[in-house]
Parts: sequence; structure tokens; C-alpha cells
Amino acid sequence: MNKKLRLISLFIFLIAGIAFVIWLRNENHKNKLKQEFKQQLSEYTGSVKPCAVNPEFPKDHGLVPPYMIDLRQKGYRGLRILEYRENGKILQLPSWSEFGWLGLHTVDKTGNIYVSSIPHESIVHNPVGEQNRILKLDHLTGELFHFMDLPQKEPSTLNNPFGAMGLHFDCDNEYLYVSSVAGSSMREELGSLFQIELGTKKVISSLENTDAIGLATYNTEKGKRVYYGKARTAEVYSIGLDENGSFSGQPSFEFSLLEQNGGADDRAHRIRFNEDKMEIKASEFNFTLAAASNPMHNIYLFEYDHSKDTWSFLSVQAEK
Amino acid sequence: MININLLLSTILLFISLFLFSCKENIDSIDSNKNPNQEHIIIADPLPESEMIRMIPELDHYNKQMQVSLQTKTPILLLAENEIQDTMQSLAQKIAIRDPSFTRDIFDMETGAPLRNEIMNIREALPGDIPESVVCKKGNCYRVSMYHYVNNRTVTAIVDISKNAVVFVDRPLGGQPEINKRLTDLAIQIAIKSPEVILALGLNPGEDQATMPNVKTALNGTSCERSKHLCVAPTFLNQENNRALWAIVDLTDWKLVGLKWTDLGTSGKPSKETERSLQNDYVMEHFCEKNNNLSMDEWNIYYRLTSSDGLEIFDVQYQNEKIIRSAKVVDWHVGYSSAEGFGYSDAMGCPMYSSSAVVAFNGPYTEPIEKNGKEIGFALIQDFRSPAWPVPCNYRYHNRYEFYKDGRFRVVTKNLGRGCGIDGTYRPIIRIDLASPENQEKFEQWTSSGWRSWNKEQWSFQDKNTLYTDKGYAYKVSTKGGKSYFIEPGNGQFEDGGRGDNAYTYVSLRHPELEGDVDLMTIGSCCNTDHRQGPEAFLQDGENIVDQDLIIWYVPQMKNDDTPGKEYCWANTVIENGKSVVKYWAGVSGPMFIPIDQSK
Repeated sequence: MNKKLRLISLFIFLIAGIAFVIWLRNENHKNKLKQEFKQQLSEYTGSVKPCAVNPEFPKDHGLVPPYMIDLRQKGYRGLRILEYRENGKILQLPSWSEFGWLGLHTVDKTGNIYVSSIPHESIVHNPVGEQNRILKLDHLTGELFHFMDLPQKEPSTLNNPFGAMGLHFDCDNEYLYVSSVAGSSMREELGSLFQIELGTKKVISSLENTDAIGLATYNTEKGKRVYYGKARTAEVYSIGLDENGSFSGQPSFEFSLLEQNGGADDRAHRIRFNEDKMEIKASEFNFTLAAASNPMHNIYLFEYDHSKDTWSFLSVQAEK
Repeated sequence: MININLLLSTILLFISLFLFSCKENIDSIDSNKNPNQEHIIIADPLPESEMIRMIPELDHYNKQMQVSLQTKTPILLLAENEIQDTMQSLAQKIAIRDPSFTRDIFDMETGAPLRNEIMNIREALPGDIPESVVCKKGNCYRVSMYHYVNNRTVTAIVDISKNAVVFVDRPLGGQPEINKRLTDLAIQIAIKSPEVILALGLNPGEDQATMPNVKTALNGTSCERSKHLCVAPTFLNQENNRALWAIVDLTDWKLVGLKWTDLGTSGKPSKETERSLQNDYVMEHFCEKNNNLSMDEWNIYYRLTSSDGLEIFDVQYQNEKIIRSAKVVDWHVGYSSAEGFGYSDAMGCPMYSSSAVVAFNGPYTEPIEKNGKEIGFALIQDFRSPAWPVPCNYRYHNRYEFYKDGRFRVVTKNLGRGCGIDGTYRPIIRIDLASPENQEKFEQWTSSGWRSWNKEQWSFQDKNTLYTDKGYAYKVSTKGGKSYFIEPGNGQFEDGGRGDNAYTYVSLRHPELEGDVDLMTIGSCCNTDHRQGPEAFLQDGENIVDQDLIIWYVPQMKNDDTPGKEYCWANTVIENGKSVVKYWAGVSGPMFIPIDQSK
């Protein structure tokens, strides 16, 4: 009996030991990856190296790359793909106009396009309560479909018909970052930034009580950060991302578009990085549909100062 | 055993608390508010002639500008006392001779001279000179000129040694650093404004419009809506750690408005602009609370909604409640050139609303006169797209007219400009009359007299529509309350209206439904028949005799840009060197005439 017990104990001990060794190896592997990631980050700062590729399906419709994703929506609704040349072909498949007016988009490394739907001049095609979602345009089939809904703290109302706003795919960590203002009101800022794992459609981390529109990642001297334009003010903030791509630390105020020389009470709608330059396309936004009829957009340009880890204003111009 | 006194006291306490809480949320349009208590003030602009009379510096400036407009090169030059040396003077002379620099000083279409002004002349800095231009140090000057009409600045790099302009830049957007003459003028406009004097509680001196931590007495700001040159003299109140922003429009020579802001820990107030000031004012005063207006024998409650424009409610005439609610829930805009092309515009609050055309400043009243005699008043709200009158931008007025004799009219105005010259505007008006027992009856005039509508239905006003000899087409009678004839617009109201051509619908009221609360966009923008949205509420064909009714009224107005016949149209023209918006309103809406039941 004692011998049997000893054998069982030995077996349990052995199993536990093996499990521990496996766990230790995994941890070491994870740490190694983290170190490598950190090492990679420390090797390069600046804009995240682009990874977006052309989707496959336009070829099936006779289009020749390179393409342009057209979301101007003047005289049509939804998304179009254009050949990037003079008198190039234009493609719009039926499903691309079924989700109402569309907003900002991002492309992943296989050519899938993710896009938000945003009410334009009315809510007829973008019903209240159905806007806090991400749509996906499949790179192979060309079908635009409802990819996932985002969480929100309060239901959407007529006083704020908006939901998901900005999207950004980070080519380093392969997470999708999305901003949402769903459920916010004049009194309460209830929007969020989300880190989403595309494979599982899971929200990995979020920055709550933050109403933002445009967002994009950039590798600063001190690590990767998400830069985002506040929806309620003309300010641009950033927040750090840890090695898992999750939001980390406290948001940091970067600058106000309004306070720049020639700046206006604009909201940063689209943020793009190119080397050390940050380009912000900005315009009016007051949580109404009025801005849709305002053709005025301003393009702000900032430059990253590596030694100070700050952004300095270069210029602002009305969009041509 | 219940203590009756205690019970009564408790009931009275609750009633008084209820009344107090209701009253607290209601503001009055004509209450004599003290502006120095107000957080935000929208200025009541004085006529230009009055401003010129009041401010000698403006009179002088205006005369200089008028002289400039008569010259071959209509540019108001930098004042002599601002030119520091002969080199700067020479740079100015060279710049205004250069055709590239002066390219936009006349109106492209008409050739009319425009208002242009030299803002700044200084030695060019290395950052001003593009790489392609070679300039010896001390030879090059930067001359900047502001075009008032297109709100743009043009800069020239002048090489004195070459006696030539070597580079011209026309950046899009952005405002220039203004010259001293305009700085002084902005301060004068601010300190002489009654609103500033009242807000500060004193007559401020010129030196009080200063910011200790910035180089200039003026803060930069922008007038995003008017696209005018604006600056903001700012007055500090160190005691209260606050600053008063006075936004001054140097294109129209007027005060836009004021806003008190906290200085915060940095001692620097946050920046205010025309749009933020106007939006904050409207939200604070009209979107968050009900307002009350008592004039003549009328008592009216009103509020700005999220998407149904300006709503009037609980309206009383001679202490009798006659309207439960009236509002314009949508504007449908259809264009005939492309089938199905158009918009459904909701009007509402300028922030946090599902409106595309938003409230621009707050509601206001104006008297209605006939033959020089005041016969009533109108409560009006202006709604605009941000860039009106740029194409595809819209402007609407909600106008409620109240007459001393008990008539009232719900008026919708379109002020253009839209996306084309083939547009038809269809406002969706919803009227819910009040009656003591909620029993109403709707009748239509026919060849055999008044005929009652027994079930929910609609009717179209066309050439076959019959009217009484006084022009009435419908009648709504209430049990125990006021009854009204309804007179559709046929161009008889002397307000420019050309006839309503309206669809009239009557539906049974369903409390909390079908428009009792803010209504989302209904119907299609572009249907050309009765399917404008309200027909959805008629589908059950419910009995409507002696029931609580809703009247829907959808007029139709076609726009016209033909010179001399303009309707629902707006255009920008040049007058006296400035761009001026001209508009031709399309007007529609039914008149309600009380029926004298003693006859």
C-alpha cells in the first residue's frame, strides 16, 4: 500500500515537474519574444512600417493595381475602389452600400479592409443604435459584412447617433485599434478606445471614458503609443502601449489644434504618420450631422523631435 | 389616526417643491438679464452706420477703405507710422506693382474692386524664403496682404536689390498677423460695445484689453462660420481668476460675442472662437431647458429639440391652452434631375443632436405689422448648414406667428441654397391642438359645405381644392375649447410665399408615439407624391371623429434661380468691396383662424 502511495506521489510529482518545466520554457519563450519586441522597437522609432497589401478580389473584376479606397461619398453612398490612374476603373459591389454612410478605414496585412459606419446628413441609412460596429471587406470575396459590435456603457440616442469612429491596424503587433463615442452625451464622456484581436474578435484592452475620432500608432523614443484626436475638444492625446499592445499608463496631452498658429476649433479626424511627420486631417465635429455638409477640412502637420520626445507644429493648410 | 394638518402640509410642500422645480428649468426670452452675470453673451450687432458714428477710428478707417476702393489698385496700404524705414516702404511699392501679388484684388466675375489690406512688412527670415530663391541678407522683404472677400492671405518676397517680387505664396486658410491700425480698431470696437461695458461693469480703457503673457493685446481666434477676419481682445479679471473674451469681427466691424473663461493654473485662458461661443450659448440657454415667452395675450413655452427644430408647446391664448405642440419634424429636399436624389434634413441643437442643419444663435422675436400697426409677433429660429450659402448647404427658419386677434400660423422658410436649381423643398409640419376633453373634429370645405373626415386620411391642395369665400379649406372643432378654420397658403399672406401646394394629413394621436417625442427622420427625401412620412401614421384608418388628433401639413416649394424670380435661393454678391449674401426665401405654412362660436 505504502509502495503504491509512494508511486502515485512520485507520478504526481513527475507530472507537476514536467508541467513546471513546460511552463518555465513558455515563460522564457514569452520573455524572449518580449525582449525581441522591445529590441525591435528600440532599433527603430518613427512611423510603424506599413504592411497593408492590395486585396485580391478587384483583379476578379478586371481592376489593375494599385488601387485607391474611395470613401468621399459624393453622389454615392458607401465604399468604392478605384484604379490609381487617370480614367481608371471604378468598382462598387452591391454590399458596399448596404451599411449606410461609411467612415474611416484601415487595411490589414492580407488586404482585408475594416471600416466604420457613420451617419452622414441623416440617420435614414445609419439608424441610431446600429453604428457601434466594425465592418469588414473580405480581401478574397469582396463582400462587406458586419464583423463585430463594440461594447458601450449606455444605449445610443438621438442626441448622439454615432458609434465606432476611427480604426487603425498596427503592423507591428497586428492588433486593430478602434475609437468609439457610442453612448456619450453632453454631460458624460462614455466613449472608449479598444484593442481588438482580429482572429478572435476579442477586446483585449480598452481605455474608457474617452471620446476620440482619429487614431494611429507611432513608435516613439519611449515606446509605442496610440495618438488620438479627442471628439469633444481640439486636443490630441496619446497613451502608451505595452509589449502586448495593451493600453498602458495614463493618457498624455500632446497639443491642441486650436492653439496652433492659424489653427481652428477642429477635431482630428484622421491621423497619419510618415517617417517623423504626423499629418492630421481635421474638421468640425459637434456630435451632430452638420459637419457632413461642411466642405472645409484643415490639414495640420507636426514633426517629431527625437531628442525631446515631443511634437512641434509645422503648418496648417485648408484641404485642396 | 391621520393627522390632517400634517398631511395637508406635506401635500402643499410637495406641490410647492414641484412648482419650484418646474420653474427652475424654465427661462424667459424677455427677462432683463444682467450680462455681467452671464457666462456667454451673443452680441446684438449695431448697424454699420451706428458703429462708424460711435467709433472715430472706424470712421477714419472706413474713409481710407472707400478711397482705396476707388483707386486703380484697391489695396489699403500699411499706415505710414507702421513703416519703419524706406526699405519697407520700397518693398510695399514693389509688391503692389506685381501682377502675381495683386492677382485677386478684383472680383473675377464682375471686375468690381475688393477690400484688400497690407498687414505686415518685415525683413524676410530664412524660413520665409524657399530654397529656389536666392536672397542676400538684408535685400529681401516679406509683404503680406489680406483679401477680405475670400478670407485668404497672400505673401510676397520682394528683393529690393532686384526691384522685383521673387516669390508669391497663397497658402489656403490661416489668418494674417494683423497690423496696428486693425489692432487698435479691434480694441475700440470691443471697449465701446455695450455688452463689454456691462459685462465688466465699467468703461474699460484701451490698455485693459491686454494679455500680460503674450506679445500682443489680441488673442488669435477664428470665425469659422462667417469666414471673416476675427480677433479677440481679452480682459483679465485677476480677482476672480477669469478672462473675458470679446470676439471682434474685423470684416463686418462688429462684436460677435463674449465669453468668460477660467484662467486655470497656467494663467492663460482657453481659446474661444465664433463657433464655440455661439454653440455653447445655444446649448446652455435653449437645448437644456424649456423657455417661456409671454407677449400680448399669448403665453408660449418653447425648446430646441434634437431633430424636430424649434418646438412650441403648451401655448395659451387668453389663458386658454390651445396648442399642445407644434414643430417641423423634417425637411425633405428632392432634385428632379436625378431620380431619388435628395436629402432628409433634420433641424435641431448645434451639438449632441441628430440634426444636419443646426440652430444658429438662439430664438428671437419680431413684431408683425400691417399698415404701420403692430398686429402680432413672431417667434423665430434660424437653422443653418455650416457653410451656407455654399452649394449643398441649407438654411431654414422655423417661424411661429401669433396675432393679437387670436390667429396663429406655423411658418416654414427656406433660404436656399441647396445642391441644384431643380430642387423641391417639403417641410413636414406636425400640429397637435389642445382641447379640454381631447375631442376634436376635422372637416374639409366641399361644394356642399363642411364635410367631416371620419377616418384618418390625407388631402392634396391643388387647383381643384375648394375654399370658402375667405380662403379656408379646413376646419378643426374642439369640444369645450377653441375651434379654428385653416387657411392654406395661396400667396395671399404678403410674405413672398407662392402657395403651399400642400398635403394635409390627419391622424389619431397616440401618446408618446408618432411624434409626441423627438421624431427620427420620416419618409423618403424624394417622393413626389403624398408619401412624405405622415402617411405611415394613417395606415390603420382609425376613426377620428371627436378624438385627439394630429394635423400634418407638408407644403411644397420649388426653388428658382432665374434673375428677378428667385425663390428658395441664395447667392453671394460683391457690394462695396465686401461679399454679401443675398437670399430669396420660400415661405409656406397654414394660418389658423379662431372661430367665433358666439355667431
